[in-house]
Amino acid sequence: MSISIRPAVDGDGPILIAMVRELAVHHGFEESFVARPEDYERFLADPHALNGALIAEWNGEPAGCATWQRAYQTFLGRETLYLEDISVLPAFRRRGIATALLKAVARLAVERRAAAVGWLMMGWNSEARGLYEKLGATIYDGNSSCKLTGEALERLAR
Amino acid sequence: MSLEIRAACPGEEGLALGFIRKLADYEKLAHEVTATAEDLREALFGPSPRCHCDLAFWNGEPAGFALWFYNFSTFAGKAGIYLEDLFVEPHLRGKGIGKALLKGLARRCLAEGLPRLQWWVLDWNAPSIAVYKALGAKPMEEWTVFRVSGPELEALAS
Repeated sequence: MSISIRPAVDGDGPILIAMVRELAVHHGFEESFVARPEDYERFLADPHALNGALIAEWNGEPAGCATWQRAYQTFLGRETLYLEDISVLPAFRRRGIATALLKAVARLAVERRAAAVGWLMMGWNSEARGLYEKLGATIYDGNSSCKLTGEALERLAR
Repeated sequence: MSLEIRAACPGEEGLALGFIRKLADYEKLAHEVTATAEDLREALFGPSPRCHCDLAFWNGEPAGFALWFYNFSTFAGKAGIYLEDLFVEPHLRGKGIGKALLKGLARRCLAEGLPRLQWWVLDWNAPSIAVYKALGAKPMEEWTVFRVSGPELEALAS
């Protein structure tokens, strides 16, 4: 096995930015991606940060990442982990890296005694869906996420 | 006739749990609630709070709540607020209490430089969806929710 997974640390900002930007591009969200390495370095350098990342390496070369956040589910009264991004660089696909990253996030959740790992996926992404189902995920098709931002947020806050 | 909204205080975790149970009931998910008042006290008022609670009172009577926590957008490179639960007592609806709770969170976002307030709604919850759209919130319809927990989580982590 040539895959190794390690926590992202101080200094990994630029490589993480590249990988998460790749994810944004893949999903057609390139314009929404405005984060800079220093935005990530802030949480990478903070041992008490509520979010973090894992980096996957193939033969020592950065190949993918998963970003996670500590969340909370009131019905359970327990902490959960929210998996925000899972990204594998195009040159490294089809080598089991996404699976390795998901396993690592699951391990992190179990270590932290988080009750669940949750994430989102776009409806058209049947390849990802196939993988997630294979790994035992439950799919909730009946939810909608709401977002208040920009002008609508300011108007409401007035 | 007066509406008061303020942060919950230690000792009010029971009140929050009551609202959580009522919300679960409304969402037809009452069987999923295993949280205890002790779980919530730890999460809200413990040494490292995992979530925050705003309580609404109508003429001094507990009327509803918003339970939320900070999240992080890897695309924006900034923190935001994730609203986990929002509930208003059925007999006190139609008075703008839900809107006032959301306004409070929107104001907090602006005050703290957070660009986004986000939450979920079940797709059959037409009354709430109508309120959210009237406030300028946008549904994010292309996304599907995934979750792995319990035995599947342990299996994936092993």
